[in-house]
Amino acid sequence: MTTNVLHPEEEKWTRSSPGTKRALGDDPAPAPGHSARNVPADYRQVNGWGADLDPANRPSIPRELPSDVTTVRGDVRDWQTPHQKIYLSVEHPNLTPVFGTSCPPRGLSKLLRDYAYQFGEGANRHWMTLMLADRVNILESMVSEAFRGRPDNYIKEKGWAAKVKYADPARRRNAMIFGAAVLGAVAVGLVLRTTLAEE
Amino acid sequence: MRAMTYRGPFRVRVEEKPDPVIEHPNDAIVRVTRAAICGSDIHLYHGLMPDLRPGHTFGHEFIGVVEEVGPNVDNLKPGDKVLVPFNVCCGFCYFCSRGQYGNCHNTNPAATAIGGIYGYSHTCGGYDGGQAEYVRVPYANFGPEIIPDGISDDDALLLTDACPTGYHAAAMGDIREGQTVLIFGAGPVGIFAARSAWLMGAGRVIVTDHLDYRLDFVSRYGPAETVNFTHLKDPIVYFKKITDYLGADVAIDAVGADASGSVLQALLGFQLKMQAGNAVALHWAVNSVRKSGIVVVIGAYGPPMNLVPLGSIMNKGLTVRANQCPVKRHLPRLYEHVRAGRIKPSEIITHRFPLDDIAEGYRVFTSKLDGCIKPVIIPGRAAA
Repeated sequence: MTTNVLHPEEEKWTRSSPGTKRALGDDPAPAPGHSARNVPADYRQVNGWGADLDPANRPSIPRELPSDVTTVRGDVRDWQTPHQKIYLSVEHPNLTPVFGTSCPPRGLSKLLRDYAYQFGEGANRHWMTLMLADRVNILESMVSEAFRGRPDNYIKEKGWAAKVKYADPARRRNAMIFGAAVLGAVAVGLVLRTTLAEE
Repeated sequence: MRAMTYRGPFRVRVEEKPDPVIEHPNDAIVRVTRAAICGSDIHLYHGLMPDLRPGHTFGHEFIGVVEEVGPNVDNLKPGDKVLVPFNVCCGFCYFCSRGQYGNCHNTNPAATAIGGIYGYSHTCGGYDGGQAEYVRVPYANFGPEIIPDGISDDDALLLTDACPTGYHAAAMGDIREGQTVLIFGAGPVGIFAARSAWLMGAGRVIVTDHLDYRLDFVSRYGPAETVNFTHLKDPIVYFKKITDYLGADVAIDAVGADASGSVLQALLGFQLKMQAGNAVALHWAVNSVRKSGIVVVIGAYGPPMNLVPLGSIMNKGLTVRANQCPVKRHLPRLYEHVRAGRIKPSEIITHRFPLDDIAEGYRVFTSKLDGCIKPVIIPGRAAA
């Protein structure tokens, strides 16, 4: 490992005294749901304990690495060319050198996004309008996908099959008994109704 | 190509999309061999992230094989097996040059508050993610790494986000020898934070959640003391009591916007959308940590705001540390930990789904069915 240079603020805690391990306190009976059964009495016995106790072994120290870069973008050599509407936060000086191109905006939701991106990231109008645009976009997409022959299948998209496939066996058995009882009741009802109608 | 697409809250499907293409000289196209569903994908799945458009492909944890590279990419070639950190980062902007790869200023035009992230809405750059057969990887000359010897594919997959993020959470806690670390959330990030806290010299690691099967897992994997908070009348009072009424030295919120445990927070965050999800874990972290302690926020929250007790942060003299994990910065050390057996990332994988069944994968993960901790997605061409 390379030795990291510590920031003065980060040196303070390396020089200060270690903490004191506290056990379960004076409470002789921890609450139900509190377990320490797998923790060794001596914490130094835990696999790997203290491997990164030395700050030199911690990659995130110092918090900011030394750098000569003073501009926000740095030395940008190449820029991606936009071929669709890319929204830019008003807190950016210019378009970023790369950006994602998933899901170009369109329709009424695009108008809402156009409005939202006029405001800075500290403005509630910005975020709440985007949330509204997302909901409108979902409705737009439901309609357009239906016209394209790919309508939404709520049961499949919500993964409800997994609820049955991976359900707790006891709950699945209870659900099956309940379902059988309902079907049985319906069947009995139909038989009785037919019988009474014939009489 | 086949790709997962978002259709609306709680709904995803797999459909045909155009293959990605090189759009910048530093791009690469990667054929995905494994992807994972991350806990933070659940925030998207629930529709909590602004500028999340139907048709968007999620997935910021993936590995694969390089198919094509742009003219400026000279460190990778077609056929290389790579792991792709979830941060889309340039490596040379003001923030990247200082090692803050989660804060890259050159990859997300839609917001300055967050850098680019694969498959994480247009608020995070509008990049399609890796829950697909192919994915475009910008700044491929900097971000992706060839999977090194001694690192399995499953371990590499977990090293793209969940494992480094948990490690980063512990690192931000500035843990000193013998300190007590209280972790909210026994999901993958909380589990890796617990494991990492020991590496940094913790004396006591406590994990709290409401799911017994996850607490059972972390109690062995961490190892860690575990507390199911649903058994407690007032979790914060209990956490104080078991830390000699001082409070934990470090409290880590490894839950984020999809927490459980407060009716009011759920009403305001989920039903009324008056805040960015349910911030109860962060609320409890602030109240459970000792005075002058450190609160780490590694759980994901969306904009614009959340209800947290700022008065207590000030009055207790707390330090709040938070950031997206700069994955590349931690990878060299994490490779050493994996090779030495100090961390075994792939052990948290519980389920594997073919890409075409991804809707079931999301359901199993979000509904916590079948003891699910970490589901992995295998695209069709990778499975063949």
